[in-house]
Amino acid sequence: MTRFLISLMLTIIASVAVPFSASAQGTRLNLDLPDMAAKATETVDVTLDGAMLRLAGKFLSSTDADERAAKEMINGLKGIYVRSYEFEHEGEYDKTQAERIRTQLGPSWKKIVKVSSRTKEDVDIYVDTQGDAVTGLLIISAEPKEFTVVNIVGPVDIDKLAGLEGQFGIPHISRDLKDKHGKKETRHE
Amino acid sequence: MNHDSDLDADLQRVLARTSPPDGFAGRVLARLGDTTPSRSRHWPAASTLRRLAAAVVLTAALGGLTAHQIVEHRRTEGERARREVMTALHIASAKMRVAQRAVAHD
Repeated sequence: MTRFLISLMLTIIASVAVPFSASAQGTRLNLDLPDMAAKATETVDVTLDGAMLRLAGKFLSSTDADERAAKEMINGLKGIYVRSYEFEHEGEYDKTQAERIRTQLGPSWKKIVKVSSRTKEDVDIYVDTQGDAVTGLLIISAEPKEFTVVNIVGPVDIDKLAGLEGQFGIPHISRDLKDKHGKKETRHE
Repeated sequence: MNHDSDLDADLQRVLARTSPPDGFAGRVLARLGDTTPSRSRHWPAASTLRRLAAAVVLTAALGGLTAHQIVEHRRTEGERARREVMTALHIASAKMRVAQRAVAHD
């Protein structure tokens, strides 16, 4: 009887502790969409777990500004997973396939941005949270001829991630507007 | 006087040249023959030493080659991981900016 009670208590503790620890470490989502991959003319498939990110960190330059920013960004992350499919014609893929990814999101995931466009690009951004801390990120982008999904596992600095675009040799929009109109435009910062 | 002559006789008898027993030379040569193989047990033949040296050199060469291949593989993997990190962050950042722009427009 005592043995039964101990095993019952251990089972209860394990059932509570395992999801908590999984959530604290962030969640890796299954991004594979074989139907899309089969139809796509170009595919980007990036799978970087914690060990590969640490290895990449050793090869990222500390002198190059882009690579230094990337090195800081991946510090502490447990995984980066990207699938991007490019199609020859518009409407060649089924947008509802993104639901296969959305259904994996647990209660700790929150949608922070939804951008809908009839002609351009739909973007949904979800964050996995543990208290106030962001422990994961999911980006789903659907363009007429391109579908992209990004899953970052670990503590993500969202502002820093958005700021990388300018860092990677692509000018910041705000900086462009400032140059164009001769005044400071702060709406994107 | 008589005592002196006894001493001389004794000395002559003791120091007289005598022939070795029959077969003495053969036995000595046989013993010498026995020692030759025991010496060869301590010092391997030259051909064995050459084989041993070749094995050591071959092992060292193979070990060096393997170590070089491991380092090279690690470097290739690291470079690939570096490129993939840059690609992944570039894509993620670009999508974040699209969302930022849209939110700012609203």
